[in-house]
Amino acid sequence: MQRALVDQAKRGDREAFDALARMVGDRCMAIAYRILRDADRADDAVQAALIMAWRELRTLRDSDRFEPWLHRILTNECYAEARRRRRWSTQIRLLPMPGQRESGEISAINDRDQLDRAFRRLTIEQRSVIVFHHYVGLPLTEVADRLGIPVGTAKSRLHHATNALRASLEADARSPSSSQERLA
Amino acid sequence: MTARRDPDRLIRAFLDEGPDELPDHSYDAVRAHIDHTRQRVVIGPWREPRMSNFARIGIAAAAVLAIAVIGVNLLPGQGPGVGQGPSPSPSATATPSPTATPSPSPVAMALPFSGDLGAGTFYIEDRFITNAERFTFTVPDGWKTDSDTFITKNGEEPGEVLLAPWVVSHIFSDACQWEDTRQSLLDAGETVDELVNLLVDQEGRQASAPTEVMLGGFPATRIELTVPADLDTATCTNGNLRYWPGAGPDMSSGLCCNPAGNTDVVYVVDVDGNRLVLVARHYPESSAEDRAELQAVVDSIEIDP
Repeated sequence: MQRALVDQAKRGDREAFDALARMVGDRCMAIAYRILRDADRADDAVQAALIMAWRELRTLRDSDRFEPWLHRILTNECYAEARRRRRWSTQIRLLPMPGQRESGEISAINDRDQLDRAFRRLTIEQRSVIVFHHYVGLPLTEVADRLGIPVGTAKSRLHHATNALRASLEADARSPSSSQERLA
Repeated sequence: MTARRDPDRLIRAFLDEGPDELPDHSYDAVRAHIDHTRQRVVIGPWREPRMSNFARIGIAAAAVLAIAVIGVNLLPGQGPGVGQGPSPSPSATATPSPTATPSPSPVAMALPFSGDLGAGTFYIEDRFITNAERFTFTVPDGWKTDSDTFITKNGEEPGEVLLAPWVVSHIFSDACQWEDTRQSLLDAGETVDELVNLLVDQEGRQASAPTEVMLGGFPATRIELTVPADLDTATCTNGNLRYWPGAGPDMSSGLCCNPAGNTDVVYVVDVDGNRLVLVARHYPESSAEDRAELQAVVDSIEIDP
């Protein structure tokens, strides 16, 4: 089904590409959001990736490889979004969260906040490896293929990123209260 | 008593949170875009689809040179070591003569996120930043890129020089008092003239007379925008001048923050109907050599629309 649509789209069939986009778009959005942690930017990245995929589709030799190929384009668009986000780094500042959390709130929320902060501190390349490995569920060899990097690099990024996330949880467990700040 | 936490399970649970549907309007936007976008034509199975003209010329030149060298060496009586061959060497491995080996062609590399660049040719492929398919430039040693597509030399020092491409959709009417965006944020239109006129009129900097030039093979308007030496930037909104936000407008990004006496040489380029803005920034303390390097980088720019 997907292969047939790819082949039709390669021949310039816009309806086929539209159907193809709707078949894979949700998955792309889920991946992009988890890399970027921002729904608007993820939306922009997915749109840009789909448009790029349409333009470059004829360069895809193996139609069965459409989704891995698209994911690589998507990842590059996420990197581009992250770059644009950092274009004015002086604007990134710490603001107090509105209101304080209730003291009895479950620790899961603290865990989530800690993970969120730790995740945002990872490089965009490390986030990508984490997302494709832990969220999409790909083995490292496939992650490396999808991101266009050596397996050793994927392994190293995963190792450092996972350690950083674990450390954030352990630090939180040792701390009586978590910071109430967020990145603006 | 609390249950022991499993970090990996928490990480996976964290990743499971969040949206997993692309909104309908996004599909519609993609469809509307591709309705007006042609697919790239591929000629032959081995063609590199995104190779720049510069790289094509470089590789073609290397190929021609290599063929010429092979041809010369295959001529009767013109084998290796004759005339221009390698010097006799104690090593068993023949050492190629410097005159017989083509020097490596400068193949462009994607601009990295950050770090020292080293001498070389780099490209940016991001229409949101350059409004072009590929934006290529060459830098000598000593330049770096820091946290995105800016390139600088002597970054964050008084003598810094900087180059940055932009897509500009809006500008602030007053670069110093830019806080009330409803009043000060102006739509910059789509043409070169519209933006240049707004830059000339922008409060907070002194503008030179615009001049017509060519940049990367495309017509451009060049204008120098200088922060008056007597301007106390501490009196500006947030203590900084701010010229334009990111395209959109994206108020979380933009061009800002140069001190009194600083000059931005701004090129507004018409790339086949798409507008690209290039900022070449120097400071009063920037050396003549560094300013010349900056100009050389500008002169090296190639734009693939």
